[in-house]
Amino acid sequence: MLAAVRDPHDDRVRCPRAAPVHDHVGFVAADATLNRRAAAAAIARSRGLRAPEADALAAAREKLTTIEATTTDLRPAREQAAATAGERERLRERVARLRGEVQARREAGLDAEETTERFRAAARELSEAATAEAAATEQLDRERARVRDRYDARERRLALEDEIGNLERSARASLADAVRPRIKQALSALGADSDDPPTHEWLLAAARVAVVAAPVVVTAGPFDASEAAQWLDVPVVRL
Amino acid sequence: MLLVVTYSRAARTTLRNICRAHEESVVRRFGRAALLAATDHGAFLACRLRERHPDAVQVERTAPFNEFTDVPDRVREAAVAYEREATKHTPYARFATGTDHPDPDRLRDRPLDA
Repeated sequence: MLAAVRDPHDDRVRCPRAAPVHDHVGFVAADATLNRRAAAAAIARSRGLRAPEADALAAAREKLTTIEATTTDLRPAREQAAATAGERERLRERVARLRGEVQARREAGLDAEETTERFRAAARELSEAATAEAAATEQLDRERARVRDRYDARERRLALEDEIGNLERSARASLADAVRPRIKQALSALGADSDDPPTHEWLLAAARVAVVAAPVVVTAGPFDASEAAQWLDVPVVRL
Repeated sequence: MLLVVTYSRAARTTLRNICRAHEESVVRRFGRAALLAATDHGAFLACRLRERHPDAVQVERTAPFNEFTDVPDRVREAAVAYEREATKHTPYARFATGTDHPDPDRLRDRPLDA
């Protein structure tokens, strides 16, 4: 039911589009998941309140988009350096083995020409592999140096993201503080404990303070459908 | 040991969770960085972090620092002399002038032997 109310593409319930605040107060039940501070902040926003942190937040978010974060992933360069080093080591062993073979054949008075040829070919390959390894290692060193600056940008981004997180938290707190008296008032009108009410009573009070357009789904509380609709001043689905 | 530094909120959270779950392989934690043990398991954790956040995790291999084997004598001696003899607000450049101690530019340019 709730999903149908909230999903604008779901035709089973045709109703005004559910605003963000509906996620917080659109379902009045004893076991609804609820973060009261986040809900109170959403209620304040639904009433058109603006947090004092709003300008600073917008500025920080804007600044964040200007810090470009280029890739710092050097995996290909690291792999290349490791692969070329491995290849050089493999060839070094092969050259050593062939050198021994050539020597052994000569000492035994055997024909060493073909082995010598293989030894020379391997030695050439080794020299090429050593060049490739040096190039890959240099490349990795260069990229590491380049990446240091990119980490600086990422560090600035992270600091800004933390700043945004703090501002968002403090904006939520200011907004929640702004509507808390009204929610308490509504709780008193309900005859509920205004300090630590059960979830569904808090939600009934909160939804009354919120400006909601989409129907509120109610499964708990003292009201029937029409009483609830009157109390909340919004269409109600009473289950 | 392995020094792991994270550069995003997500990577920092992963590091925090990993450190919490694998205290035995964490030598020290500093905010968004940590020193992991030089064991296969420390390396395993570093590889996991890199795999999950390839762009936001820097890993460096560290070694203990012995100033009596890893540092040229004159550099170490200059540092000791500066700490012991210089007055509080004397910059090192001025302290080194007219002495046998290396000047700061030389110190900056000369790479430390591995």
